[in-house]
Amino acid sequence: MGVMIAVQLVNILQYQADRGEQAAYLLNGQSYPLEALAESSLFIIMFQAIFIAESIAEEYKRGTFKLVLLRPVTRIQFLIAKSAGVLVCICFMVVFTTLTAYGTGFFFLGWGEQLVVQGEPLFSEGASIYGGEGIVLTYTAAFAYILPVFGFAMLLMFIALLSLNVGITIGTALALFIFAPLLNGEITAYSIVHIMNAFPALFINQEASREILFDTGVIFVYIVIFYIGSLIFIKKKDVLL
Amino acid sequence: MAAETLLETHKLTKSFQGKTIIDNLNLNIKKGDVYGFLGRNGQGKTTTIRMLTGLIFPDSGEVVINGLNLRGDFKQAISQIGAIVENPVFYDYLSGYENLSLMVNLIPGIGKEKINEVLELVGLTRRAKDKVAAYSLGMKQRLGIANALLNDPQLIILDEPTNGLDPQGMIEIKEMILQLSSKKEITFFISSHLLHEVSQICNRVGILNDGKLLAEGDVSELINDSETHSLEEAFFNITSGGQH
Repeated sequence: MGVMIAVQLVNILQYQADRGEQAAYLLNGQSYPLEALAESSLFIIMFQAIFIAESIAEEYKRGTFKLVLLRPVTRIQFLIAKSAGVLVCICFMVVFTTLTAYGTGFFFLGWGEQLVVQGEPLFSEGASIYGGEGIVLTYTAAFAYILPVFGFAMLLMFIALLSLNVGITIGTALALFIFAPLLNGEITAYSIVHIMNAFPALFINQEASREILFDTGVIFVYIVIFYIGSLIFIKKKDVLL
Repeated sequence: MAAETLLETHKLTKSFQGKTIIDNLNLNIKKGDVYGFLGRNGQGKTTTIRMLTGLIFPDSGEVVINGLNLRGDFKQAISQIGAIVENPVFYDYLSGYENLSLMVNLIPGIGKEKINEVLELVGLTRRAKDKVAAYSLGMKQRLGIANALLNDPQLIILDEPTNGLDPQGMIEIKEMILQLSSKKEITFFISSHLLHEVSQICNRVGILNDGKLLAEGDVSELINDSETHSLEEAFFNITSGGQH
């Protein structure tokens, strides 16, 4: 958690150094949470990867995995519990990031007059978006971010179960995050990493309902495929450690 | 009247990478038994225990616990047993009490008060708040038994429970098993390669060799049938191909 705050502080200080006096105009406290969420993306993903690797691969290796399986808990329930844990963790990180970003943003940049995204002021029906409306829009985008991150987490959970190796799980997350942006052409639209980066912004653009529908479909396909894959695997898995 | 069967296996078979580890195993453990599951290292004792507890799945055959098929009625069947498979493993950074608290959450109808009760039974009350990382192997073994006792099981399965313990620790674990067996009427299934230990606490044994059950019965019967004077002699006689 301290890392997330440190990232925000470094981000703001660097921004102020780069932009000088214009900083507060181009970015302000009420706009900073959206910026912070995008900047923290790598850390949220890596934290997820570590969480999943620890709770599956490392627990298997340590032998604590079987403590639960020796109780009246079916493997389906076990997997649901692990997935729910991951979802709660993602929600916590997103809420934590946005709340602390409001704090750090307000402290260093002031609240500001309106919501600004990537230097562009946002308007709704010709009027500036600010205050409560801005907060609602920020949290809509923030919660929208949870869905693709969960889809990515389901992929990682499948990898963790398949490999039962902490290094492979975390390495896969890092490799996907780094190399996915290199994808070109239509396939990009189906990349969960691309969707993770683009999906929240669709909720700020008021004319993106088709894209939202398409991306939501792709995310659900990721969630369903990798959840079912994990389920099939864990139902047959011999626990040998 | 013959004692009721609590745990039985029918033609249990398991292979790994084409090698048959357990071959048509038929076990029969009766209520009240302290059953010793004997075999040298690498004969398939732990694999059998993993199948008895549902951690691994047999290629064929079935495990029946108190009339319930482990595969078909997993939740009800597993609720009848407590087990330590291989080493007693816990979260080192939590105390003994906290570890048991986590486990209690997984058992329907059991409250936190049960934790103090089982800690008392295994003599760990005084050290319950200490981190497990600071426990000796003997204490971890006792915590493992406390964990196994949480759901008031009819059967406790222990995998080499005295392995790695000092002589005092061995005596304590053996006494605890006998005490729980007589006072709480818990049936025990104990795997071991320490024949002397088993002869001291078990009334019945099964002898496993190369994944096959070579003999099963009362300790005294096995000794008599193999025309030997001790369980050690009977074991070596049976595993080396002698009659039984």
